[in-house]
Amino acid sequence: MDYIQLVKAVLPELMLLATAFIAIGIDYKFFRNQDEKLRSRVASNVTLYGLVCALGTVLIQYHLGIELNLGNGQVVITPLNLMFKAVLIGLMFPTVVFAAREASCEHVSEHYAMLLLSAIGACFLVATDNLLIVFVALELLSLCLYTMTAFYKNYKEATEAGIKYFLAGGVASAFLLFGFSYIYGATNAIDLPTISQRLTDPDLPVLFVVTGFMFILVGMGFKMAAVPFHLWAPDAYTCAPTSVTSWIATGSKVASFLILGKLILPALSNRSLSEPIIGVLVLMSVLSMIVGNIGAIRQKNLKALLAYSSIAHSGYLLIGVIAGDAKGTSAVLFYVIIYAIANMGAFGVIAMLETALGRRITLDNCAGCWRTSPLLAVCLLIFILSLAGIPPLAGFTGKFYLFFALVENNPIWFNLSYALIALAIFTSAFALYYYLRLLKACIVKESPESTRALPLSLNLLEQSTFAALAFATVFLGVYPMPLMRFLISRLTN
Amino acid sequence: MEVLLPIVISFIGSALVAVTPSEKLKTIRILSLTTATAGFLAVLYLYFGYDNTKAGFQGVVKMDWIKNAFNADFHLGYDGISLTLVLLTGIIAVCGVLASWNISHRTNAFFGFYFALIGGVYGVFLSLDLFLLFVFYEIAIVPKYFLIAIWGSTRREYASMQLVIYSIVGSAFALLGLFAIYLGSNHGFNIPELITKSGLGYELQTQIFPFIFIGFGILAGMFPFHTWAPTGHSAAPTAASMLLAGVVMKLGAYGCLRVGLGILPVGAHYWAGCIGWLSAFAIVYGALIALSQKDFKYVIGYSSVSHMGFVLLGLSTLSQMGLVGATLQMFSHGIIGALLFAIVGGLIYERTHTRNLDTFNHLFSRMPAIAWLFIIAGCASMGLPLFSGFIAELHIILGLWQSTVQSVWLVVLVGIGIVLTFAYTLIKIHEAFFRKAPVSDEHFPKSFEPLAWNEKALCGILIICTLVIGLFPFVLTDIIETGLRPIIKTLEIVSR
Repeated sequence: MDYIQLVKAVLPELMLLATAFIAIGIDYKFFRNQDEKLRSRVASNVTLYGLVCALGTVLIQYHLGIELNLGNGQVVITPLNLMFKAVLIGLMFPTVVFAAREASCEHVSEHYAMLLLSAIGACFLVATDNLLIVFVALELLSLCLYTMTAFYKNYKEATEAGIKYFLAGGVASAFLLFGFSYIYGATNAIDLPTISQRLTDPDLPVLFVVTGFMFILVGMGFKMAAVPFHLWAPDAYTCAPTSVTSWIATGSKVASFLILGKLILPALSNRSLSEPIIGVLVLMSVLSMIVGNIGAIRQKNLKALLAYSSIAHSGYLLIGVIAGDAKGTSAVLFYVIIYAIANMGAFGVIAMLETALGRRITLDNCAGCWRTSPLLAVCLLIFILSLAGIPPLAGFTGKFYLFFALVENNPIWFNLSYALIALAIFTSAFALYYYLRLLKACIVKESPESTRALPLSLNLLEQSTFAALAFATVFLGVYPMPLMRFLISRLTN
Repeated sequence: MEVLLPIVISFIGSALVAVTPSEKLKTIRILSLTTATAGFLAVLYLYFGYDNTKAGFQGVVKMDWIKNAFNADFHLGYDGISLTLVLLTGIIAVCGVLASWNISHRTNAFFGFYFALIGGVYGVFLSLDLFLLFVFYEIAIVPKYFLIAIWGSTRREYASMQLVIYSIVGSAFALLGLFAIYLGSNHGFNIPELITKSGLGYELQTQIFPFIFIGFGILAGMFPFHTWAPTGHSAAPTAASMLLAGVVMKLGAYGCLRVGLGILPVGAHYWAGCIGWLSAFAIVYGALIALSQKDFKYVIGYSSVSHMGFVLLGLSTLSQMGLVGATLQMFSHGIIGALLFAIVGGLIYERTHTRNLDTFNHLFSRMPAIAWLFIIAGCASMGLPLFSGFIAELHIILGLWQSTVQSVWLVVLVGIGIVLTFAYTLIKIHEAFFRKAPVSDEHFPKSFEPLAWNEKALCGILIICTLVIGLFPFVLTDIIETGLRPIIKTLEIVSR
């Protein structure tokens, strides 16, 4: 293997890794006994610089049009993969900004190092065609997430949530690996292009392969928090530090859906394989939409509410996967990016409010938020309405495209695919109920405490982060063409 | 490009008002009035630029918007129908600002949401692309929630949530219909092309018509999905109930006309009888319930349901006369409904602080000017000659006689409805102004405050509008007829 090429391909990841070491090193060497606030500031700044460098590198790679395929699909650099790397590193940016504001324990720099490591995992995950690298990268990502969920050692519930997350996640990973082994057994290959070629083979052991894919779906279903593999999500989302939650809900989901698309798409072109797989996907999608939306209605804690909403969103996203063609996948990727941006923003707002109030945010205690910080209230309005799918925000365009992609493939009036999107449309209409309840709590209600709550002052970096996220949400809704065109053209050839 | 003006002005106004600090009340009010007036002037400019000799859409702006994934253009334009309704929107927008002149709680946010709603409404009426129309339609839904939930009165949180859920479920129905229309024909979302040659088959049209008609009809207060309307109207602040009754309900009716009748003429033909009966029943039912209400705003709320029944009935006749009447009734009810809500929710409520008719004790002697205004508005609402309601209802009833798809018995039902309308209007005028209150523990002052300038202006504008249309209906009927021509043409082809 050509090492120069390899460095060229994974330079952004190397930068992130170096940053992780630098952040820890500086912290340990110079600031070991200093105030935690100062340590946090230094470490977060180092991390942000590292992210900027990595993002810049990715953009330069994209600009130079680098396309590489190293080690038989172990590291694959294409414009699509690069774009997703950029999205993931871009999503890590607000995560770090939010983390900087949160109260931290004594392991300040490790927190940022963990975040960076999980970003590295996510970046490797999107830039590979090799099943083993997929597994390893996914494990790197997940292990960091388990650890970070339980980061506050003396917060019992977080430890519990972390353990739950870890156990369920470990089992899911085992399923995934087992599924991969079946696929390897059937096709004698571990790189996706060869696998997809062999899946069209007429004398394929169909039952064997289907079993393999079922195992994969179990594993991925867990990563995506799709019902019935969602039980970890509300706990982990609620108990993890909010910045970590925002990353679990966005970054890891983006990476998971990209990889799901890559894994499932080849199988769906083979009819005998696609029927059972689609059946299971439909079931997961329907259950996710129903359970997620109904579950969210009962929640009082804002993070738990968004956790259920993200379960429901997995259901919507699966609709695009069910469409089973390049267009459907492009719809999934389009929507997952939009979803990630809006969700990141929403969790960010919660993180800010939490630090200001010094406690968990529920529907009852965030009243009067519009008075203490109108900017956050407006941003929250934009993010939540985008999640609810209200135009002209991106969430609407994305959902429309997802549903459209499915019915376009089966345009007969009120067959199964119409029934599925009818369910999706109506559940998302009912979802507006709890989204509006959330907005009501923050924007409508006048709080008796609002006079006591400290006015929340955001620094310039935080303000611009929120502004950028809100702008992206509006812009992608009003002018979605460039991104859509990019995704479709990259996926079709 | 002039077609963009009202929309752009409203959205810019919305943003500007929203960022003005809420302490600067005067700036906000003047800015709002300027925005509303500028929007109205832009609409007038469209009206006078409209060439009445040509059918079809004018001032068309068409730009590529979304390609590859699905095809939706940024496609705007107007014909006589849209023009009538944007004119209505312009008038109501100005009057709504006047009616909410005294709002001092979060004024910037109020007008921010207010103009977002207005912008969405303009957008719906001016869109020539179904996707764009739907986008604007949904933009108009959410601000209503906040307008009612923050500034509303009785049961505002329940009412606002009910209203939004009804609207959004309605649009979910409509969205399914839109998918089917797009995939069933090969003209994308292009409304003019879909109207002239949709290429949708008989089966498909009859099957998706209910989706479209219920979807939009929910917002038009269609029976039996009308329950949001009275609750929402009564809970809303004055300006919002004026907008709701005045224009938002028309969004639904407009959708039924443009998409339901225009694009799915066969479906319309198939379902017309059913809609006719439902609407005629709504007329009678609304009037009966209005008769029994004690809350003054609920009376007006149910009268809205009854009047919107006329609109849908007019649509269901599928005849030229009936459709002209329906469109005219949309305008007429927009003006009269807004006037009634302004008087009841604004003028009277701000003075008495109650809407319970049982406590109103000889109000005529205490507020003679307002009583006279209400009597005039009541006459307009009853559909007396001189007022726009008369012309509109006359058209609808004539259309009903001529209609080939409707039963003659409907006319009888409508007749009963009209009698009941007279009954509840006169009885409520009596209860409100001329009788001794059955429960008179309220101690009203001898005479209430006289009318303020903004109240005079707003009532003046609305009364003049209904009189102008009542006396010179051709101001609107001419443009409505040209606007309806393509729709009538396809409907005629279908009925043969």
